[in-house]
Amino acid sequence: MTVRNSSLYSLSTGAPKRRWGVELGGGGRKDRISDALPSPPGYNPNMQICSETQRSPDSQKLVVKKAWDLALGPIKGVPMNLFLLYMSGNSISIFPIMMVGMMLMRPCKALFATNATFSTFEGTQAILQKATYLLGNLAQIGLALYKCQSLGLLPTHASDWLAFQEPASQVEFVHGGFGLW
Amino acid sequence: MEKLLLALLILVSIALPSSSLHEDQIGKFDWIQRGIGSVHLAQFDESGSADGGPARRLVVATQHNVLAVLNTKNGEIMWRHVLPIGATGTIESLNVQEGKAVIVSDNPPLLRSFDVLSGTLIKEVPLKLHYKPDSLYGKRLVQHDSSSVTVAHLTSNTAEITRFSNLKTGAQEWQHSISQPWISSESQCGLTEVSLTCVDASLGLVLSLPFSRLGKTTGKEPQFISTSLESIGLSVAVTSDDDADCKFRSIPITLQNVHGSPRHLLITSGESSSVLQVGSDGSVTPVKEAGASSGAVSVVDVTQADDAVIYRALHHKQAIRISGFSLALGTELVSRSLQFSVGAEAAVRMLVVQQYQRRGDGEVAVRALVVMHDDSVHLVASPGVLWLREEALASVLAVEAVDLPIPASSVSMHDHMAQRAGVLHSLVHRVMLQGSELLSWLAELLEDSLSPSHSSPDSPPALYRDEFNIHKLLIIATASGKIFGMDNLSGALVWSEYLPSIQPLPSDKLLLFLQRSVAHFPHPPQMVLVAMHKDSCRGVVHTFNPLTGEPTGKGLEFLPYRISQASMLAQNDQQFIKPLLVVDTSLGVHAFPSGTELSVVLPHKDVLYIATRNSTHITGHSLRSSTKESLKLTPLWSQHFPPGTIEGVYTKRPGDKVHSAGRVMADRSVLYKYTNPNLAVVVARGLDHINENLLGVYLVDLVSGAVVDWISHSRVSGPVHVIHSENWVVYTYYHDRNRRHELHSLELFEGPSQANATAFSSLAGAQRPPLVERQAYILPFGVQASAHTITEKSITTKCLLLALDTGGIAQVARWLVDPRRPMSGGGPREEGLVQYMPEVHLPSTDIISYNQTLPRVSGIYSAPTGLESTSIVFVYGLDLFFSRVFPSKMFDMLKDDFDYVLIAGALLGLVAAALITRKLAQRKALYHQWK
Repeated sequence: MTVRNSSLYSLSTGAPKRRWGVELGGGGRKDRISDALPSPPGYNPNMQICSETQRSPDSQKLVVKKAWDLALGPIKGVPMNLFLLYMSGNSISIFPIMMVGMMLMRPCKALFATNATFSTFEGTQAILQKATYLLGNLAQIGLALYKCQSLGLLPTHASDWLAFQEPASQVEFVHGGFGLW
Repeated sequence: MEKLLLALLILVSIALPSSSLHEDQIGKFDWIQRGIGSVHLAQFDESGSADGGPARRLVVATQHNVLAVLNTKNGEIMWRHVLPIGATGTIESLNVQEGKAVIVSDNPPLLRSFDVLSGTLIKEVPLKLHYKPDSLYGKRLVQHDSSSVTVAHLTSNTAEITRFSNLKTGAQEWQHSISQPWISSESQCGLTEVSLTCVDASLGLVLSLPFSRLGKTTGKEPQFISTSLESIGLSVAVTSDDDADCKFRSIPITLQNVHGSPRHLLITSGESSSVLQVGSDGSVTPVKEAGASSGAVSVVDVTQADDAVIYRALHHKQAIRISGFSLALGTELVSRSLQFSVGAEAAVRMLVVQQYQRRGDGEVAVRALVVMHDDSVHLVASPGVLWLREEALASVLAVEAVDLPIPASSVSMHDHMAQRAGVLHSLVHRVMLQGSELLSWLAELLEDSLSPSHSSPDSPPALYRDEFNIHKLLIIATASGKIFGMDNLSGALVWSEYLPSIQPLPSDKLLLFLQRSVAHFPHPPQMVLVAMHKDSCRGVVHTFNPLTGEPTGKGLEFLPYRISQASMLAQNDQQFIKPLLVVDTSLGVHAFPSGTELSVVLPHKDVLYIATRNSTHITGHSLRSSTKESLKLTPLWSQHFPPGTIEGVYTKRPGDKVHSAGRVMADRSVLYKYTNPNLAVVVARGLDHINENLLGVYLVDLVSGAVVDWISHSRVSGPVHVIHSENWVVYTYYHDRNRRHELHSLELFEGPSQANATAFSSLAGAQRPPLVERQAYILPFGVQASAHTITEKSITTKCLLLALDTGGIAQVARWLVDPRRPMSGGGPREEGLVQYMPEVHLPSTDIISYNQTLPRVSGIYSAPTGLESTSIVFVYGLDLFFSRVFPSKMFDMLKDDFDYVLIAGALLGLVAAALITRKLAQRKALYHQWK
């Protein structure tokens, strides 16, 4: 173990600036000195360290459970959202609008990021999970749209398209007036 | 609590933004021109000039029943009294003496005396007649001087002559009734102070009845003294009487009073005229004038000074010469002659001369008031015309606004815009043209800087369209036959054209049609005027360029038939001219310009309807049986409209736009509008079985002749003013029983669904009758004329424009008289509708003429501008008033008091502040890093 002024050392190697460095492994020019030293007892440099973790059947189950949790999340959120929507009322003001906006944006974003979300979970049930997740998000979007509808924000009435209607063309033309003579 | 509410209410009402005009905005968007009408009596007020100098005031009475005093310096009205329309207000004679203007009005005969200086009424004396005056079937002549008034009333075979000599009580001196077989209400007679003198063309005699023969007692029938026309040196011009029913046929020989002399009369036959002097014994002698004229219509004034001088105005084309002829000397007084020239080739109708002592040398100088046949009033002195008033503008019959052309530098841009191309193509085109416009502007700027004295100040400013197309040219056709082009922003006359041979059509109309607008460069714009010939009553069509007034094409065309109907088609021909269809009285159809390709007319299913005047029927005719060679009308339908005569047919304005196809209900469903472009409102008036007034209002589809809806109002009388636009009708009337003016509002809807959203056909299958919503409102005022505002795309809400009988022009929002205003508070409400209230509340801020009073409004003209929020309004009648209105406020424009400096300053300041703080922040960050 060597303890030295590493500022001198850093000047030569270009390592990050450190006032004091403790070098446990040795290196640099001193390596040759350390090579000469015998290994400590019980240390076998040729031995390969192999630490393969064996997955237990419990943790496998845990992953599947976790994945299902994720997939069922949107559907579980529906009752709470329903309650929230009910509480916010049907008047058009900033909070219901913000809520509806969030409610519409979040599932959409989630839908686009479906693959990324499930990339860490692999398994035989992936397709099923994804489908569930999709359905859940769609349900959320549907809920948001229903709210929009009840707020009157959806252009579903004839009056919403009235401004785009062209005036009717004239088929017959009429002229004349009060007799001038 | 109530007090608090009241306080709150007051606070709110104070805080509301005012939509009216501020005091400093008076005259900024509007102008007014006061008129008096066509002058028929005038006299200089000599009392104001102490030392016998020129008169400072001129008293005039007009055919519009206006008594006014004009300033002789500049022709401005010092005061005027607008007397009632009809016989009550007709001014029969005028006499100005000692600072008092004394007038005698027609029926009942009233002698009224006004102070010339202040215009106050000094006294009013009723002249009591012992017979029942029936001014409808008679002709009244009045002659009066300072001490007596003579009234003659001519009916068939009888003349009633009454002399009043006590002007304080109005008591009669004598009254005589004379029966003669030749006397009729059309007799040409003149009253002098000594006699009643008549001329009868069929007898060839001048007949004179001296008052000295009448005496105090009514014994035997007094005799007329007759003089043959030959002895006077006149011959009766024989007129071919082929147009016997032409109401306005010219009278072969006329007799007129002479201004300034109570003993002279002017007799005119055809082109020649002569002055007659009437002796107290009834003898009639023609005055021998040296320069007596033939070939020029002349008007004479005799001034009774030391020597009587006859002034005669002769006109030769545009030059007019007023010459004085001394009776005592028998020679022409060259020093007292005046010469001047006028703009229009019109004859002189009236001449009033004042002689006065010139201040410097004491010489006799002459000033003359000359009234021309085009109603223009000139005051002439030896230097020339001192001032000119165009009084034809007091009898406007038709108005049309014409867009001004775009400056030549940017013509190319709009020239090609009409071509239809794709979006991308038009974008590229637009960018290129804008670029070229920028280049030309830069070039102009460079040129200006190189030669600063580029434009001479003398040249009149060229008329070009402004940025928002608010600057327009108003084409005005008047009853005298004079057409004007008027700058709408200043009220200045740009051009005028007098057509001496025309007169209004029998229904008192002149028709103006814009056949081609300025949008079709290089073709000049074209306008056409439809009128009637003065002598033959046949049709006249005058084609002209509305920007200059110059005739184009054939110019003035005299048609060989009488016009029954004229209207312009909606389609262009190859030359971008909308053809004019003229129907003669025998239902022949003629197209103008005459070379028009009939293919323009024929592919459209056009129906022509004619409502005959004073009848109960309207007939519809179809053009469908026309061939390529000739147009032919076939009767299609005929509809009867009880209870009496048809008073008016009110169609929508051609090209009336409807922006929204329906109305949104409270439940967000749509109630579609019934926008039948062929719908008309027919108003018929008559009496019911107990002789009460009855008014029938019909909504008629003019293509099929079907009555869509009708209402009958009992005990309702006119005048009825109808406004018809989009899918609504508003009309005003007087309710006899309730004794108030009322307004009735109708709105038509197709229902919650549309049968055909893309095209409207009046003949399409079995149609559902439209839903008609109606409501009546009480008007706190009477209405003289009405119109509605027109904007370019009809997005802006429409306002009713009502000329009130109190003299104001009111702008009434349409929602205020909406027939869908809910009766009770319950139920969901439609947007913008408040609960029904029977009274139409009119705040004084809605009077667009603010404190100006406009008497005798005959019409309101509205035209769109380039700004959707803005509509121009031109009110005509005795006065002319122009203004701009903003029915939905100025939503597309900054207020004119917008503080550009403040906003620009704030913006620049913010930018500067942002830059500076950024720099500072950067410095601070750097400094912080070095720390």
